[in-house]
Amino acid sequence: MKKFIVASVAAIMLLTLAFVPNVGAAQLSDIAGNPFEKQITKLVENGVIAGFPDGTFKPDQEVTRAQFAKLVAVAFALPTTGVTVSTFSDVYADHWALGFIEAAVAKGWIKGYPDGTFGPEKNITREEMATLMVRVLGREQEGTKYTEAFVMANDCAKVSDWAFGAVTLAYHFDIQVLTYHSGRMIDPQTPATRAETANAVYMGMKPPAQGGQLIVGMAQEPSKMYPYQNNMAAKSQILNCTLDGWIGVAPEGTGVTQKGVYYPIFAQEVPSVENGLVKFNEDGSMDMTWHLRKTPVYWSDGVQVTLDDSIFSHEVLLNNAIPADSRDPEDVVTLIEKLDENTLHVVYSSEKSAALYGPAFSLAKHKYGDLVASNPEGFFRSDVNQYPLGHGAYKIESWTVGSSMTLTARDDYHFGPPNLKAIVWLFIPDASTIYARVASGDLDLTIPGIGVATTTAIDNLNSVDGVVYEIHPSTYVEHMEFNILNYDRVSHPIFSDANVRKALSFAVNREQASTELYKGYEPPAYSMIPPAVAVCFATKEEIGLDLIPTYDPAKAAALLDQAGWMLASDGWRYKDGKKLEFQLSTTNRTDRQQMCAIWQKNFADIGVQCNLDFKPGASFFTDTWAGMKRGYPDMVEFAWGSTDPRYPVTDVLRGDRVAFPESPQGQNYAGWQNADYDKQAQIIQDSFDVAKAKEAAIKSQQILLTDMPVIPLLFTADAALYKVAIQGIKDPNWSSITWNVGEWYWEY
Amino acid sequence: MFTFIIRRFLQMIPILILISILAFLLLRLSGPDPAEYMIMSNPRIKPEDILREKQRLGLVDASGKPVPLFIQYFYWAKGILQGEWGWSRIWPNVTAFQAIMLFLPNSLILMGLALLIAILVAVPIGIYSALKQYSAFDYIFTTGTFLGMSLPTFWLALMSIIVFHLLPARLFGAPWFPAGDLASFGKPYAGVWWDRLWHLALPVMVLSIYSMAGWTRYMRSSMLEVIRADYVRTARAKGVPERRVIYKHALRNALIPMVTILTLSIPGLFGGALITETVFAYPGVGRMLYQAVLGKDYAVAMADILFLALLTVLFNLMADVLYAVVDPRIRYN
Repeated sequence: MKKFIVASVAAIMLLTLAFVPNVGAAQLSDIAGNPFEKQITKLVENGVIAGFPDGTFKPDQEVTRAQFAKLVAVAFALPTTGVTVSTFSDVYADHWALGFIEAAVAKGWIKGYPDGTFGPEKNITREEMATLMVRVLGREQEGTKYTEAFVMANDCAKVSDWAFGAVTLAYHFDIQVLTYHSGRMIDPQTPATRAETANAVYMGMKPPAQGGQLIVGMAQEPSKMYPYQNNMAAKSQILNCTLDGWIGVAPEGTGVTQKGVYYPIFAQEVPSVENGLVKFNEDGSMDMTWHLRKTPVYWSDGVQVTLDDSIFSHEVLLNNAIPADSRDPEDVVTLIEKLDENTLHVVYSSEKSAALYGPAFSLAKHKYGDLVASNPEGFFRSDVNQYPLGHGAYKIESWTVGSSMTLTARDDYHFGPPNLKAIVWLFIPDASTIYARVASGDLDLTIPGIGVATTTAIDNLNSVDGVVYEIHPSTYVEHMEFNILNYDRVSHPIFSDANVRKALSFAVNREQASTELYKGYEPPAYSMIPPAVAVCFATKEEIGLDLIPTYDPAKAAALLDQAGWMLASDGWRYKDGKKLEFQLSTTNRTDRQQMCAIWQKNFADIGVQCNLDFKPGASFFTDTWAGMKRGYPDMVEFAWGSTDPRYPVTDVLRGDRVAFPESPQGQNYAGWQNADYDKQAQIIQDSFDVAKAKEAAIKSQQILLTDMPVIPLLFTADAALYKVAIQGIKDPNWSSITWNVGEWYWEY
Repeated sequence: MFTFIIRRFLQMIPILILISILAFLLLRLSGPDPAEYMIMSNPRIKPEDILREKQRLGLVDASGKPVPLFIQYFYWAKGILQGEWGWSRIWPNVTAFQAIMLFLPNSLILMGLALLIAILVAVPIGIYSALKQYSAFDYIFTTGTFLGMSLPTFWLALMSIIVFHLLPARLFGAPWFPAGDLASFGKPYAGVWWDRLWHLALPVMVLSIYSMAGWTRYMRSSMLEVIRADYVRTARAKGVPERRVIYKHALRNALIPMVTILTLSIPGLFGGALITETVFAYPGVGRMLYQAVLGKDYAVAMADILFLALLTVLFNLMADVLYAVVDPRIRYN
């Protein structure tokens, strides 16, 4: 009975507070999985907001301006009684929300339209909500300096003039009352939904905590921080914190359906053929126009970033006295010129998709210009290797080589002060130590791919409280590669027959390996383009179901019969008196050994003898890579991948990437050459048109699966482990988890 | 004695040259060169990028033809003799020499502490075990030392992290000892001497347990040998008190072989402890050399191997000399 009374009192209290009758958060039926589930639940618990009597919250329903006024007045406990006079001509004295509206007016939060009306029954738009919340936070004054909406979104131009400052601030790292819509949109004039208003009010009541440090553990250490040489996963994770660029890629969605969305950072908008910033000329060359935003941005030493820095970076990249990993696509730039202080015109001699990321923009001319001009070697050995001047949210404070690196937040950062004031990177070579230190609470975050081993994460799934085990698709594909044509141009006696290669592809039970070894987190692969390469990823249906390799021993046996390898009475297959027997070489990683044992049995089932050869990773890769000589007799198993949602590793199987004694370069270990495939790979690499790239990707995989120079086995997975209390992590499959590090904050 | 030392010094030269040639060949012939290595981390890299890098590293000439290994060796040797040790490939802005100097102090602290603790514990235990041979104490410590010697370091290191770091953190909310690093971060006491010592506790413990076992065995057998010697029996026979027999007659003679072993183990201090340093993410020379070899940092790997070889032959010589100093019966001529 007492419980009932308490519940009733609570219900009545909430009834009087919220703008619709109460239903407890726990019972709300339609908020599970909503991106703002937590915020809605917290507000309902605090009695700021409530669900409908039917047990729903209707998170996507729109909110009127009067309702929002009430929400704000309740949330911030404004005195709302005893009001009888209305400021606005369209809010009558008997309006149900008069008290709430006037309370907000008294605070200076609500100002109404210039004509003296308020429009209480109109839906509140996202930019209006942003304006009001920024006033609630007392930050309106800061916004007055903006002459554009300075937000990392694709529709900044749609924001109304009067809302420039508020919308800009609404996205600042230390405010975050607005979030992005699909396609990285602000949608400023779209009405705010109930869920969005709940989030905005929640963020207003509890802004992101400023402060604290983040301890990150990863197995790799960068060899230098100079942006254009010795690139590796560890370095790009840190550079994401210290450097910005023309544009960025944001993940949208999770798992295999995650997409990559391009968004502008320094650029006013992402160039495309549609917006006229990309043009193809008749001679095959490509014109691009880049607009720098009007709002000034600064290097971490306080000097403004200009187009001269971009031109300078481009020149350094092409300077022969200064080593660079790759000059693609800067090496085909035929013209780079400044049209005005904010406009850069770049001409490429041919279509180059990599140009989408914009001309190089990572080196500060004012800092390095003189040195590069007078002494390139000196520049290459200067502190640009340890402490390169950056324009990102963090700067490198100290680097104890072999041990750790500390980044500190730039409070003058152009998208607002980052919330975490320091990020400490610990370089811990041993993956078991990293896991032990996550479990002890020592590490706050591990980096996918170079942190906790995927198998460790899968085996210990969610065994540590307060830690998120995020296992997501990676850009790597586990596969077997045949030595079809070896370094000395000798064709393989067994594998030069495509039917044999296909037979083996139908013989392996990928499903069994996937479920037994990886609990399904590494699903069967049916092409060399994994889901994480979101732009070019092709589904089974797109490639054509008849081409998809499945587990079909009968079909495998039939193909071998067709190829002339006949089953003898001893259970093995023979052709011309020679047994069908080969060696599969790979690394001695435990899960890989177990996987190969499955393949070995699969092959034996159809009368094929496969001998396994396991070597320690370093020595295996030595054999494979040594002088590009493909030092393994029959076939190898390993994983390939890229680190970009746009580019699969299709290029490695191009015909001109086969190493022979006279041209010992290239990573086409199959020694496979196919002109049609090469054509598609070129399109994938260069096409600016994403649809065209994807079409070529599908075709390339069809060719690959028809001829089967490689057997796709599993789409691999990566694991990122981080504390639940870190807010704002959105982990992209292409493993640059720090892409939005400025938005992160601690909330316990 | 003097001619002996001179002769040994001269012998060192061909030994070092031989070691350098062997190390050079082993490094160069073991798999991909640094340029090819770039592919492993970036499959999108173009053949012309690789070729350009190879030219820069002097692996191929301007026409793209490979430079013969012996010519590469002579270039390297010339550089070493001229004091140009070459730039590190995997650490920023340091020459091979500076790279060694960067990691060496860490290793000396770690290894020095471990050695000191090992000796301080092992020597008394060894002596006592020898004096009470076949006693319960002796059996317990003999078993203990065999355990200590046979437990793999990586296992011992991980167990120490689990027992002294992970479990206390899960059970009591805070680890007793850190599981690596040089010092704390973001704490007011970060980097003060006891904070650094605290971080050294586990790796030092693991390393000292490992070498403690060996030292106990050495001390025990050396002592056993001595207390059975005629002069000890003579001392006892002439009525010298037992304490005096042990400390004056037995122990001093039992320590003579220990001097040799100690001297010979000093180069080890400079060699670092690869496994312990790896598990505890400790920036020591052992890990440095390992990473240099894996990362194809020829300059650093060669310099460090040569440096260690030099120390080894030097301390071998020193051990011989010291042996003559502490044991008057030994004469070189």
